Amino acid sequence: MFETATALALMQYGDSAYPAGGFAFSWGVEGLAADGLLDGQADLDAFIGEHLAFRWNCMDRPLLTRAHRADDPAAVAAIDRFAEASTPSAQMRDGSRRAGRALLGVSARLGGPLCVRYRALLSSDVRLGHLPVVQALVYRDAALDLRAAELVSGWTLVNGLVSAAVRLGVIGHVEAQQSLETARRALVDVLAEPLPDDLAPSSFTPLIDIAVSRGGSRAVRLFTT
Amino acid sequence: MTGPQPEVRAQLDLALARRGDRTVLDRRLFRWPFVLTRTFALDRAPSHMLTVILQTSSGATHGEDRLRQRFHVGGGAAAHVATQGASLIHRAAPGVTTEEKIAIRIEEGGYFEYLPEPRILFPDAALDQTIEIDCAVGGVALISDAFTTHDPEARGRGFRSLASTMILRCGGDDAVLVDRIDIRSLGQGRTAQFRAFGAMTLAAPGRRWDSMAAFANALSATLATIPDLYAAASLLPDETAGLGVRLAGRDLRAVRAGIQTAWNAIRCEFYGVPPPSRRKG
Repeated sequence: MFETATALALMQYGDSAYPAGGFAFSWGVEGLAADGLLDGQADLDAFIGEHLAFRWNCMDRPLLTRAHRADDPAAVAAIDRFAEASTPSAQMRDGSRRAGRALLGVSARLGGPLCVRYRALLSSDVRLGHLPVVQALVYRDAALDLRAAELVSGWTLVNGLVSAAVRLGVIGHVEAQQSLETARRALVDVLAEPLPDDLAPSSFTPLIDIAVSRGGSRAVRLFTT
Repeated sequence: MTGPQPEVRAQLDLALARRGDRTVLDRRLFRWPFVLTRTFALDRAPSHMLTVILQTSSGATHGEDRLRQRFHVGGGAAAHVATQGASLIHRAAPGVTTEEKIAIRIEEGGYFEYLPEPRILFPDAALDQTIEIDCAVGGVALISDAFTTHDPEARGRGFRSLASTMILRCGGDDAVLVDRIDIRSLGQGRTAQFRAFGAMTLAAPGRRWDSMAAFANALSATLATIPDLYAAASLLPDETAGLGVRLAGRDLRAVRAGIQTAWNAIRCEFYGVPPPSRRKG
């Protein structure tokens, strides 16, 4: 289990009120609902499970792991550029960079030394700033080990998806808590399996990717993704 | 297979070159399981486009197969490569994975379409495929890759694993795109209502578009009119390299219709007219 200080840090960084702009991203919830593919709690729970198993666990988590272990900003930037190349959807890439840069900005303003150094690199390359890579730096600055960093990364995704569903009226507040409980169990299962060190990042969330990519042609939307 | 494997000589190795007003096969090497018969000139625009229909004598891909294909498209050449029918991926013994690697190189001024029929994964199929494209600035590559699953006994048995990697370079060492899936089952919930999936990649580095983003949005809108299909087009990383299309169909017919629609739109963008029918019997 985590020590008290670490547990409190997890609550701080996993809080949806953490001022990093997470409320601007629905990661497909808005598009799927608009396209008639997400209607109610059962659909939401299934998509959260898919996000966790088929994208976060096999794409975000290995990228976060590599960045958490990276020796210097240049090595982090190489992982960041790989994140860019590994995300075929322009809207998904844009969302990941915007979310990552916002999170990095907050941490840098709070004085996180790794974040301050990495932020200085961002102006030199528009491809940099992807969310899982930045999360690794932010959580390293917060003295969270890899296990804790994975936990808060997965949880902020879950929290963001459920929060977006509530704001879109897909579910109510009580259902949201039920969905969070379901997602908690899913995250526990995913995290129970350690990642092989040589795992090549991958993802297979076609409906989510399509829903986000269709965002550019939607007349009205509340969320960036 | 596990562990390092000796390099396999390509079973199919084609070089396409421009000769006057035609594209010809400058190198034409093939061996089992690939079969190549005559080539075709089917297009009015571009009139120098060569069509090649790949056939396989085995009729299917089996567990122990380790297939290699190589295509080289010279400057000014234009070619369309398709397969005769869907590619059946049969079961692989435990610990064995079917391997397929396809390497495609397009020189400046070359135009290449590789639009094979979809793969059909049978129960206990295990496939690891890689498509590596190196498209020089001024070249064009259009690649499709689609799959579905099928249990001939309708017992709900699934494939064992599917790893599929598409790597795009545009003349440099760094990959512009690394699009990889690595799955042991399809999704649950609403995703389970979709039985066929596809991806298309259009690489056109250096091409001057009025608005590639507007083209992608228009293509997404057209794809949205196809019944039983959920699909969208989006700009590739680098955002000047080209665009990608994701397709999810409630059946294979819907994904095929989506690929045909995207192909028509891209041909119209490049040559002003859609491609003629290439119905294979």
